[in-house]
Amino acid sequence: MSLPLLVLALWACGDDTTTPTDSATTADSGTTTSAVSTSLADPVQGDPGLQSVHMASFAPDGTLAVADGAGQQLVAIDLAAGDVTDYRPDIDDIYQLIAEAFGDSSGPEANIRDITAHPITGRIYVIAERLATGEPALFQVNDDDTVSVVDLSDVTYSAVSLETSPGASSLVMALEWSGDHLIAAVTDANWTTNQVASVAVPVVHGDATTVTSTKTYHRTHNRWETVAPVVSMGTYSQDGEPAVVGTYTCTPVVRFLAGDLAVGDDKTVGATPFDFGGGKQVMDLVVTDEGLYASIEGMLPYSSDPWENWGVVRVDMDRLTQADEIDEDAQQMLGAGGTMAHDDASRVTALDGSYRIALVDDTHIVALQHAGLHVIDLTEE
Amino acid sequence: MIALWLLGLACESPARFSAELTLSDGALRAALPTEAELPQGPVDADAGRVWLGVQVAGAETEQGVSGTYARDGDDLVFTPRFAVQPDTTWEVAWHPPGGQGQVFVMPVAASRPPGEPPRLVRLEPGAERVPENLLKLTLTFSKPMRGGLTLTDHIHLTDLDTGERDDRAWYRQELWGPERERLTVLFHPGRVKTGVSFNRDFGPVLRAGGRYRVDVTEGLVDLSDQPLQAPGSWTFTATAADQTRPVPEDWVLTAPGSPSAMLTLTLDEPMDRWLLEHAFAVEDPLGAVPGTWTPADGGAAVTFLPRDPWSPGDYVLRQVGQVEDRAGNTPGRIFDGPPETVERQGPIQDTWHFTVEDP
Repeated sequence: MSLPLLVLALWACGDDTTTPTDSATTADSGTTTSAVSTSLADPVQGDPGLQSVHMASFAPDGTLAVADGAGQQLVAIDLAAGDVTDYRPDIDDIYQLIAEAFGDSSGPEANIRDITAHPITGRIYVIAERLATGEPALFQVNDDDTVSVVDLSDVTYSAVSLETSPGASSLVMALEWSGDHLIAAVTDANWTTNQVASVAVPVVHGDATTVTSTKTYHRTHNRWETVAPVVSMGTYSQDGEPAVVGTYTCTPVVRFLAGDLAVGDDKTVGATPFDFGGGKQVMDLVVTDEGLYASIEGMLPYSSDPWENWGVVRVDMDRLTQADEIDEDAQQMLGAGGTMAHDDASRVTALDGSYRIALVDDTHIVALQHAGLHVIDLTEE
Repeated sequence: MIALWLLGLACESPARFSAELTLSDGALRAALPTEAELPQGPVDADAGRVWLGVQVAGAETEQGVSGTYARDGDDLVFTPRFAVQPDTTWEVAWHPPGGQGQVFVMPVAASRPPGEPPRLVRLEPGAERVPENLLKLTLTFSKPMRGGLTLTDHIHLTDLDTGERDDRAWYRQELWGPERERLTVLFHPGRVKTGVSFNRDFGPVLRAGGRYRVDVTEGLVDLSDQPLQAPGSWTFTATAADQTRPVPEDWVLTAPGSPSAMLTLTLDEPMDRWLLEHAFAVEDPLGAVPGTWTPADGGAAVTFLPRDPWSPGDYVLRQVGQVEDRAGNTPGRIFDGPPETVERQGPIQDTWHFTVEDP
């Protein structure tokens, strides 16, 4: 193909249903979707003025939620869906790609805060922060293993405010859509708040969040806790109702009904169906129909290479949803040095070295693994 | 400031790199051939890259630098999306329509001039004696700093009695203030809390009677990669754990004795300094009184100086934000204590009334 024809061909790829990006994109020949957001009501058009992007999460209809802790807001964005892709990234150094997109020459110049996948297109997105300037960006992973910045400066969106301690900026640790609610786990730059903020879906621009804090039983020290912030969350269905499962600095896994969190009581009491056990630190988790997957520091034998300290454990769904061994009776899942302490837990060796994980679909997980970005087929485990 | 060290990008007169390529007003402009059929206005990035590809020199991939393209008059213009950093050189592939491709290596931002290096302004709490369940350190710098740290690589805790460094002392989460001039470092809560698995497996970070030193190293750098000019340290002795709540009913308010005097609230123990600056508000019958809150006496007191002199009359002091003592205890709850005693029952004083007399 001659250069002018190639240019014309690439030009033709840009249409109104494609996510606006500003770097190299190799168009896929798959189906182009035109989903309309049902998760927004009375949105506005323009620049949401994002000061940060701490976390991001897609609703089932493809609406993108962004947690802007520095800007004290949650923003739900009607993001044009773009092309459906079955491409599975296999990138050895995602940090390098992001650094070069920022205009820097080496990988350590960026901090990756989150990864997520579009539920309709299967497209994977990376949320990163440029270390030299603090500039945030949402990157789309393209089918040629490049990344493109998603332009969020002129979008259809609904924003709701987050409120924490006066004068403090919020630090959003987790963000999930669950049933009729968008839910964020929030603390602040002093780690003084343990808040879960909820907003009803469809998200109305300017609407208020309801805020609660959590009261949870920590099995390893046999104590109810009200201070610890939630550091990771996943969603699932508990007895047919939308539910959220969260983890803490300590190692209990605690579940809540999304509707209970949304009431905004002073304290929402969770149920602890299991605990990962001593010396572990959960970083991220996802829930499929089959089980809960958690990336955990300290699960594997200690290594001086930080990536080697991360591993992923799978816990059977029945253990998460069961009602017989709760709180004081919760069972411990992990032992020392990569061993399992319970039959309901198993190590996912294909995900060794994974720090962040996200669901692509019910059988695929994308992982930030050994500085790379890889998709793992859970059916091959 | 950035404009001071940008070469070409910020120059009033454009920097010319070839007959076609110039840097002007932060953008790379390429003179299109007269026969180029390209409409004015925004140009799709994929198409723009085919003609004008921009990479960081030495890039390991063909990713390219993020930016937008547009036709402006007779030029194709590339505007980088993110701020151009010092010492940046671009490798520009220019393939004009109908013309021959060329590659140019273009220094677009010069080395930064030597500037004021960052300093550690405060390392808190900084007291000679702190409880063994101390929860936080707060580092305040003279300039915005770079994040993405492995905290134990740059902030060391040494047990002076054994000489051993504790590489598991801190919780991994970096907690930067909004301007990135303040970093809160948490002692690992799992080791501070008694009975927790981390505490059982690795022991508490501090033990009563022990002597310790915190060293902040020059590995901490500002946004321009300048290391700390004067790394800091703090030596202290750990005392018995503080497992009691601050008691607002014991706080003492000293009303200003003259229109220009400060109000002082003396607390029953030292509190987190930064929280103190945002924890209180003064109101008169017309609403909030603007002014400045300043922690004093190592955090055991806080003063308020109104922007305008006090007018004689009645005022209310309200607690509007969280206060915490050095062990993370608040008036409402103990950070780590027996479950039945953790949360205080009943109302907690959060308002104080005072009068400024007519002098």
